[in-house]
Amino acid sequence: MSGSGDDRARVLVVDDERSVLDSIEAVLDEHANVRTTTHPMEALRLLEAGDRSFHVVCADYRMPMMNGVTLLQRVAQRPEYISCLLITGAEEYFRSDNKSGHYVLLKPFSPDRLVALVLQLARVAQMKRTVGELVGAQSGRHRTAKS
Amino acid sequence: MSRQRDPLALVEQLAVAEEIASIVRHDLRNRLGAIRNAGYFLKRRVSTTELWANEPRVPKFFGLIEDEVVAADALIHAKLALAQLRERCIAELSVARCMDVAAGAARVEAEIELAVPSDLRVSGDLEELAVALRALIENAAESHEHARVRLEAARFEDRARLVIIDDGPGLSDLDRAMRPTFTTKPGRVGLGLNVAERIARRHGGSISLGPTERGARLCLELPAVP
Repeated sequence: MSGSGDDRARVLVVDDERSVLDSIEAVLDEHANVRTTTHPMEALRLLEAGDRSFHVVCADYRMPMMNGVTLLQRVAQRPEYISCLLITGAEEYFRSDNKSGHYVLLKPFSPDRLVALVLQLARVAQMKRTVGELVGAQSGRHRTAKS
Repeated sequence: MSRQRDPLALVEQLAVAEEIASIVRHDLRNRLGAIRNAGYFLKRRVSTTELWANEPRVPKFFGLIEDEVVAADALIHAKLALAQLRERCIAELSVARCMDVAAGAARVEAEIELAVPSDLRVSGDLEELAVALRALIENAAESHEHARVRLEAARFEDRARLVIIDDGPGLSDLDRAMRPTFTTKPGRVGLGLNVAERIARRHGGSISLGPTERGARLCLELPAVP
């Protein structure tokens, strides 16, 4: 996965604070194709509508209407593999009862750390999808050979 | 006629202050994060220009912004904890006594019924636990105008489960109710459940919503004394 062209990581960032969202987008957009939204429901709609799905969804924990853990649980239920990154303060995280095992980036974080983690998670998503496709194709061939 | 002194006032005020400090800390940290990200972006753009090469104060001040933001983050993490402001008194406590103190100090008109076994015990700070329970009782009592509140407790393996039940319209989303400053009650700040949850967590416990056919059933679970 490179940082340019069609091969770039596709990242969706969800945070209810526009200034935080814009600044994260500025940090990431040199390395990835970034979409942002302040509404978790809009994030789910984007995932549903997208013809080329995101590799990574980054979500803040504390948001009105739906918290980041709940949003990422919904993302993880999608058929295609998407890496989920919860961005949160330590205090909110320990109060969040997050048993879902999403990757977590604790605030405050260095921008370099965010870039490295998001690119790594995008590679993981790409790899898991490729493996899934290979396994799917192989089991399809296996069924055809048996029938 | 003098008003009777509230025996839980000091602990409650400290707990509320701690909760407000936590909200301010969260908001400040988000703003500092946005400044740090914006500085990172600008530095990358400017560092390839002549301005960066010809004006030594430009790289110096970008470094200063980064260092000061990191230092400010460290400052707001020096937490204002209730434990630092008041010496806690941890002892083995009867759950019935905690419930009794909390119900007695509750600032409500509602009828409160207690059905708590006398032999169930937990370890903790009586005043802190009473503040947490009072917040839950008051929350239940304000569920509607003529609310009835019932307090129950039982042991489940190594946990003591303290239950506050009301006959109001019910509570479907505890996560939403737990959001700081969220309230449906006029004149309230919306920190009671947060205060209760923080105190529960400090005692190794938690707050959850139990199943009920009518009203709300809030459970405060704590490690029980064997």
